[in-house]
Amino acid sequence: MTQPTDDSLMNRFDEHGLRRFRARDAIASVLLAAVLLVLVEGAAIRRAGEQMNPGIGRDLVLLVGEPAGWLADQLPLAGLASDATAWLSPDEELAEADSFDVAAQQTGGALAPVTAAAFDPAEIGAEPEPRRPLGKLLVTGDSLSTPLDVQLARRLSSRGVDVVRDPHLGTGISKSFTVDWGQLAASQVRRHRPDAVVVFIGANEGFPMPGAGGREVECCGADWAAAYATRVRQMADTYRRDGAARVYWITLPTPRDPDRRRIGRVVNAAIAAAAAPWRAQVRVVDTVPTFTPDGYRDAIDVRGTRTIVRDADGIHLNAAGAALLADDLLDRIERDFVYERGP
Amino acid sequence: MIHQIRLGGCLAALCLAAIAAAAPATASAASCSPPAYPGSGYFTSLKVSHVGCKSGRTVTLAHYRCRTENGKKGRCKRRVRGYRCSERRNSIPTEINSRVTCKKGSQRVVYTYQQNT
Repeated sequence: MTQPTDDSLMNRFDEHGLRRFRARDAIASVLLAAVLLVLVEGAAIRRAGEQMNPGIGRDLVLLVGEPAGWLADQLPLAGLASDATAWLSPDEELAEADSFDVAAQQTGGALAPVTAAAFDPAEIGAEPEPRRPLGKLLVTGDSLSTPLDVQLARRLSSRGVDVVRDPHLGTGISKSFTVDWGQLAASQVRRHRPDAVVVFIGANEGFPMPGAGGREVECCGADWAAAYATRVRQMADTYRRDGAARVYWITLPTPRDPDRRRIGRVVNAAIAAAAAPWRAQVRVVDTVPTFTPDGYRDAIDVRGTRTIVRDADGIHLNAAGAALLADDLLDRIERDFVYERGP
Repeated sequence: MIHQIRLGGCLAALCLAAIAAAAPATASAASCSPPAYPGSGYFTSLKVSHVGCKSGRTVTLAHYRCRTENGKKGRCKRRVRGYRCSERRNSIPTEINSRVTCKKGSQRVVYTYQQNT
């Protein structure tokens, strides 16, 4: 009968006199490490507890963490340890020249500062500018601006407002074939000096345009959108007359034709981007939620009645649609202006 | 002698008046209001020279009918009202923009249009 072997592995060390530490030494080492951690990183225990969800676990951690943190706060050990190990995770190199303060003092830099005009007071809960008298309103654009211009003229002529209607049928911002809208906008402002301008254009877009670097870009990628937005921004800047006028730029209601839809989507995005620097002066009037909230449709509910609001071409608003848009526009205009005569 | 000078002066004045009267008819083109577009689009400009606006509008509409005989993207390949017409198009999938020049001797009709396709 064989005797069971002793599987106490510690005997191997004891036999050769190799065991140098006792179990109590291990316990002492753990306690020493715990004390050192409390002294050096006691604040970390407290921080960890504070970040925990309320409960018994958090209470237990804070029970230890708060006195440990207090103790660590009294000693300089945390700072010394941080300095000693800083090389393990060095800070980013921050150049003074890149600071906000220095950048703000630089003039002629490539980065234009955002001005107060970029914020519509109504959107940020700030005090709005006092309403001004509306003497002259210019309504312009391509064929989309008709019959909207007639609807606005009907409503405003009795209120003492001079409504100038200046549609340019078949024209577009992306084409200078018939008219260059950059030149036309400048000419309109010189001639009429309007207090407010309503712009409704975009039915004839999608033509190639010179993009950045003069290279011609085809519709309808980001390069084309950027080129279109640049032209819109130039026009909006002209119409706003250094802040003396208000501009109401109307987005395209979604057209029926899929090719036109693709163009219209880019045009609307470009309008929003172009108007960004002057949201206090250039209002983007979005027709999509009213006329085409879920894609193209001929008819919508107007005051409880199903009403056809689009022309047969699937592009333009008809008289009923234009009347609805005119009501919406007047609501916006009346936030900025008062009329010289009552209704 | 004085009588001859007066006569010469009168003749010179008459010549100048005749030249002045003839100048507008032979020089620059006149802008006319274009007719209403029969289809989906617009006539965006109309200019005539050595011919009246009414004739210009007639030629414009005749050319429209000719070119759309073969659809919205069609072209006119024959003379209209005795005019020979050429066209310079700028097209994208949704529309055509074009300048049409029609000539008959010294008479000229130039119009531009935008046709939705």
